[in-house]
Amino acid sequence: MKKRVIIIGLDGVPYELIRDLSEKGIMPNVTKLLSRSSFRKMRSSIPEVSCVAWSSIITGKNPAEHGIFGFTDLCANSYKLRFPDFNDLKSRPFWENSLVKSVVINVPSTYPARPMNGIHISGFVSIEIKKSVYPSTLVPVLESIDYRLDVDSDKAHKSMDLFLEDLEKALGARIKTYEYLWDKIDWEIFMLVFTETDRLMHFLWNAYLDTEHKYHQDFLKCFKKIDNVIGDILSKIKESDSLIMLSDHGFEKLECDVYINWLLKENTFLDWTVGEEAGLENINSSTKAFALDPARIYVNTNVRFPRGSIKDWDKDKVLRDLESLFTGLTINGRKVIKSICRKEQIYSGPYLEVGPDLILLGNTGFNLRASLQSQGITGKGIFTGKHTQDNGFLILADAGGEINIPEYPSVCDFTSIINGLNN
Amino acid sequence: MEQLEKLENQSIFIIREAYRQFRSVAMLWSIGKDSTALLWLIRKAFYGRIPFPIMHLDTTYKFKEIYEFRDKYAKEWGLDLLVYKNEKAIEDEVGPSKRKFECCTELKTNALKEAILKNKFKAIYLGIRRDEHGIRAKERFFSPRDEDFEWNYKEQPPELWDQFKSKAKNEEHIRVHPLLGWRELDIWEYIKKENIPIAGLYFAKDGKRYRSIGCQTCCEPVDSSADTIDKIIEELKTTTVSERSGRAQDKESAYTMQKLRSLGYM
Amino acid sequence: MNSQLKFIIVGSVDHGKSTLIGRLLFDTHSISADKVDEMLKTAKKLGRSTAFAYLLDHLEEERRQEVTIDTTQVFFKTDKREYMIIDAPGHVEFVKNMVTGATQAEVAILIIDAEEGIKEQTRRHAYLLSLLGFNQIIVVINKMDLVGFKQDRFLEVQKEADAFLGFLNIKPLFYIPISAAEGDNVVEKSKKMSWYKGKIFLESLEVLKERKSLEDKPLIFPVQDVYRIDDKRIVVGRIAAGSINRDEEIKILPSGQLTKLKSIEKFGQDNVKSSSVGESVGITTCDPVFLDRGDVISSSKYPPHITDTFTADIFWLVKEDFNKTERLTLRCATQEIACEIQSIRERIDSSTLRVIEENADVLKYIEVGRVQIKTKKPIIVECFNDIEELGRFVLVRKENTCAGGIISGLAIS
Repeated sequence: MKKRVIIIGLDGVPYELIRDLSEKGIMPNVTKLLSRSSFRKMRSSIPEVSCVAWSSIITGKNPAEHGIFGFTDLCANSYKLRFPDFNDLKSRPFWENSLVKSVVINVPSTYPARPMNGIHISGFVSIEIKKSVYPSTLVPVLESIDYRLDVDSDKAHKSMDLFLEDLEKALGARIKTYEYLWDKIDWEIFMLVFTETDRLMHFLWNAYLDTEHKYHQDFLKCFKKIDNVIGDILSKIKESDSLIMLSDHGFEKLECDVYINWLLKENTFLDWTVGEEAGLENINSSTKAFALDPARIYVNTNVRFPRGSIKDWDKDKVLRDLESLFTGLTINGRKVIKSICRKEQIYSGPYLEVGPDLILLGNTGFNLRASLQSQGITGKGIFTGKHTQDNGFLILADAGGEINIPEYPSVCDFTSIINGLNN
Repeated sequence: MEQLEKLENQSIFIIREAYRQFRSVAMLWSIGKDSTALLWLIRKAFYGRIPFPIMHLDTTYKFKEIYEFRDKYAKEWGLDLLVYKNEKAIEDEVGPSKRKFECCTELKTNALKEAILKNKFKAIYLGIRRDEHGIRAKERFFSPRDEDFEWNYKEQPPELWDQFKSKAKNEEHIRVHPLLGWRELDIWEYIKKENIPIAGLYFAKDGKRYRSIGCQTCCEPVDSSADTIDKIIEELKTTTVSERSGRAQDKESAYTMQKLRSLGYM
Repeated sequence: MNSQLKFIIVGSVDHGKSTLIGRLLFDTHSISADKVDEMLKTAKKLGRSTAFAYLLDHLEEERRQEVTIDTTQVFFKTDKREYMIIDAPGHVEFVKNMVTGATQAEVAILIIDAEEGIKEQTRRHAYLLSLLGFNQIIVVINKMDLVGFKQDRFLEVQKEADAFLGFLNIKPLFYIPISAAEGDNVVEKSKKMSWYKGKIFLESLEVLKERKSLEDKPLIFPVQDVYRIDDKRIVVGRIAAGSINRDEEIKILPSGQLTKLKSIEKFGQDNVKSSSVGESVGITTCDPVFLDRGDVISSSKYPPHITDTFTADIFWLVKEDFNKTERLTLRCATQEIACEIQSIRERIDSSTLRVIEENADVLKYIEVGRVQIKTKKPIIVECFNDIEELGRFVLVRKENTCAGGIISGLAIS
């Protein structure tokens, strides 16, 4: 009998939320699953954003190996932003590394889809349906069930009702797709990621916390629907199948945004030509460092950047100055920065050089953002939830029961876990 | 004076200005249609006796037809052909499939750097056009590059009337762009008028043709049935695809950016 | 092929240059079909009400990213002819770029915000246009939608502009009330300004003329270089005025030598009998005369002036001040020579036109100077209004262009 592995991803869902909704009876099928599984808190990537975390999950590599450092990156020798995609991923995802037939649905940062042994529908940010699907014969089927590449989050900025309506449609179509593909081919790995959870938590984390909130029930409804899918899968799988659920990062309440570039500007690390608008392309040679979202800091060195002024031997001093600036940063008496990581400490691999020099993680509630356009150090937008690095989750219901998983695994451990299951 | 004549005369004037100013010059020939048109103009400017080398940066990822075309006309036109490769990078197996990041930098930019330093060229002729790609709209006819080969497009010298940036300082070189004011259609009409030989890749085969030719691995042909120059001109006049669409990812950026912004990721 | 008219749009920052360009491209369907298609699609996806609004965002985004293909030089065409728009940055930091752009253009459009009226930068740009000798100017008064499309406000701004431009000796061909954002009177006639009976913007462009040809003037042929090809010495250059004919008698300046034209040399063409203004050609002479770059070949009957002293208006384009004791290099056509500025008779604020100082010793960034220049040796020049190519020059300091100038008068020796 073939050993099959089913992987369900819930984008952004924290360990505590799974426990909470299971205990409250909102996700009874998850409770059932937990009774026969290992349940772990999981560490996300640094920075804790989906593109980096999922790239690590599917390759088992760190950013200096897989080359994805964030949703945006810099063109070589330039301040111009680019948007890395699946073609920029320097390591192979697990489904391209073996001859195992796979179905992969909605994994972030896998656009554009490319040929593989099985079926692939790419996830966020996917642009055109035609380029999101392999094989292309599947496109008309997806169109006929009104498949959505993603929830239209623009809608949340206009009307929460419209957003929730759209979210429900996207989730519904995703579930239909899963149902359609389950028996379509003879797969050994079936991976399905729900990104609706992340979208929901960005805008309505407060509705989760506050049981009186107008949208509290809507929030729970999304998780109930996903729980039904888990129930459906549990009823379909065989004894020899293993089931894994995981998230790529956690979530928590967003107290305020903290604008790193504003801080750099105030402290004379960052400057742009007078009269020019704030923009990376306009920074001048007196700039010592600047940030890309969410809090990736680059030292403006002369070897790397066109208007770089920091010489190699001064770089360490700039890094130390930055570290002391961020270490001392407090807002309303609270320390803002939880940890300051030099790239060499957290990454290793052939692409280390193109990575950011420092990566910051915020303390509870502080949402770090790069932003050049902010009017002050802090702000608060429409978002009520933010990503966390230390509390994603992993649930493993292993058919053999022999796999040892670390007490506190990281996203990079994932491929070795499924390899263990497949052997 | 007709538009094509205006463009031709202006280009020849610029070509001669640059040679007079710098003397130690070279032309970069990608063997594509633009730089071949430029080469044609340079032959005209110097009465068929080009007094400087014609340089080809060979990434080794070029199309086979390109090499054949290059060698044929280098011989026929009596060119002083200089071929440059970044041997070390090629040895290190830098290439589009392996390390896409560094591929262009290593294979093109660094090869050019090396060639300029070695030969002490003060100016390089290039066949770029303003309408070709975003950033090029900001180029001047004579564009200085600093010692790191960087182009400071924010602080460019003024270029008034036909008075171009004069001699390069020791540490910089000047890029000379005689075709800056030409459009893609002008190039094709000129190729037709002058009967300039052009690589066969531009003409449609099996319903596809190349609109621009970079390295084989990073270029995609566009759908087209234009297998003669006349048909290409006709196609361009009623064109529906912008020229670099074979190469461009630019157009998807706006969409991606909006998606990221709506989630606060940018 | 149709003719092409190059025009520049100038005016203060935020008065709507990009919007006007966007509107022209959009309403003349000059954006390639795939781009429009993509815009419509993206606009729909993003929930923008109109594709035009999306186009503007798109231009803005490109501007932010410094990939301004659509805002620096763009082409569009009508049934009548093709146009090239040169976009001049409105910000004061970019006067240098504005002047660079303007020297490539044949016609200038001055844009004024109906609500804000004339601003400092509007004045400066207008002044520079007058110095650069623009005689074809169209004034568009934009953002009429913000002033309720009211004729009163249009007339008010027009009056203010007319007074100012009159002072500069600029007589605009048209004043046109438009709203680039809403598309009124740009390509489509506005229904909201029925009081305006004149030409709308695109119509006004169609009646403009390309820069007049200097074909009927006496020959001016500045020597660019001399090539030795086989046994021939070919003197190359571009004809700046008039025409050149085989066997014609010509005069070489500054030496004053007379000789006859033996042949006109163009690669791939034998037996060329004549060439005229704008052509890059080569010539050989009957007598073995010595010729080099900087010499000017002219008609023997009507040679241009030779002098070492003349008056000019110069505009200082770099941030480092000019000090009268400095020596600069002057470049005019292909001539290059050391010069001194003998006097700065007036030092003028380029925005207010106020004379800051008479008989000044310095000239600062973006100021204009009425000066007298003396060159080390006599050179061949003309007043700008007579022969443009010999009436305009640049001043060079340490190999960088630091000023442009227009010759206003010659000292006849």
